[in-house]
Amino acid sequence: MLFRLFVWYGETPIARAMNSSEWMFPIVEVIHMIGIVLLVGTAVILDLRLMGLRLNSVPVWELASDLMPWTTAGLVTMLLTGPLLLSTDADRYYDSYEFRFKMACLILVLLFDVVVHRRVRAKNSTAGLGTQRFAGAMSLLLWSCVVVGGRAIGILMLSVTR
Amino acid sequence: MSVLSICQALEATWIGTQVRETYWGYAAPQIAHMLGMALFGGAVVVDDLRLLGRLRRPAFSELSKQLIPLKWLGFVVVVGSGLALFMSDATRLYRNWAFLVKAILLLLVALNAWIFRAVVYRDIAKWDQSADPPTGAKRSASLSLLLWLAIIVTSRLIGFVGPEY
Repeated sequence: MLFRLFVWYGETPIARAMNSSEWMFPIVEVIHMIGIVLLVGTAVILDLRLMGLRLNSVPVWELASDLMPWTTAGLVTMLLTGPLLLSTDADRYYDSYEFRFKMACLILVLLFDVVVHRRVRAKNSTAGLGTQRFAGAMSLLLWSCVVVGGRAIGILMLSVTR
Repeated sequence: MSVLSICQALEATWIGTQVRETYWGYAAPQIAHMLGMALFGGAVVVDDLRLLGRLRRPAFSELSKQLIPLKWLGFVVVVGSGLALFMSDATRLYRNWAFLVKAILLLLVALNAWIFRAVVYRDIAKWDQSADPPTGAKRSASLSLLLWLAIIVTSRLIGFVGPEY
């Protein structure tokens, strides 16, 4: 069922446009990469603050509200470009453990953000130090796994063509 | 000794061979390069956002002091993994134009940072606490972000241009 959805997606006009020129993939991939630095780069700093390792002189909520527009911009960039990259080879991505691992981590980190992280970094948060540390460490770990999974997908796809 | 012969020697080393010919030899530095980039790039972006007045606190000197260990860690990981990747494919990379442009951009970004330290940072006492640093600082930060953007673009291009196998 899900596989058929992937096969269908791989044949949509979006996929055809992405496959129409050999330059489409690298262009979209570059934008995806810039999104990573914005998203993960700023998330790491906030997570280190939550863990009490960096910038402890700034309140969590203030750092969060200053960084969040950039983190969100990165996330939106990733979520717009990722599916475009997926469309170029959708059925092969479906089969790959690397892709499944990355998607599992992505879903986990987004859920964790909505359920825990968001509350901990809110201005009126009453979260204790332990909860802050846990939220920062989990988020850092999960985002790292997303990056690792993403790079692993790239290597997998390359290893077939090389 | 020519550049080509140096590149050939690099490719023949144990590291060069491992990265080129084994799965994890290749995957490990690729993954490390990306993780290191997120760490280093993140620290640079936050530093530059502070200079552009998008981050209220802490004081710039305090922020950059706290970010330096992260930058160093990211830098060592990125350069180490980058060297390993270069060694695996040196004879092709040294005549890949995207790689050469990337190398030049890296020199420019270092030059920009040095100019910032030598010129803008000299007056740090005047604007350290300010949420809105002076024009020179903003110019320096914008240039840094632009150069890093171009470095990411050329990095991706390396795999898509240049001599075929």
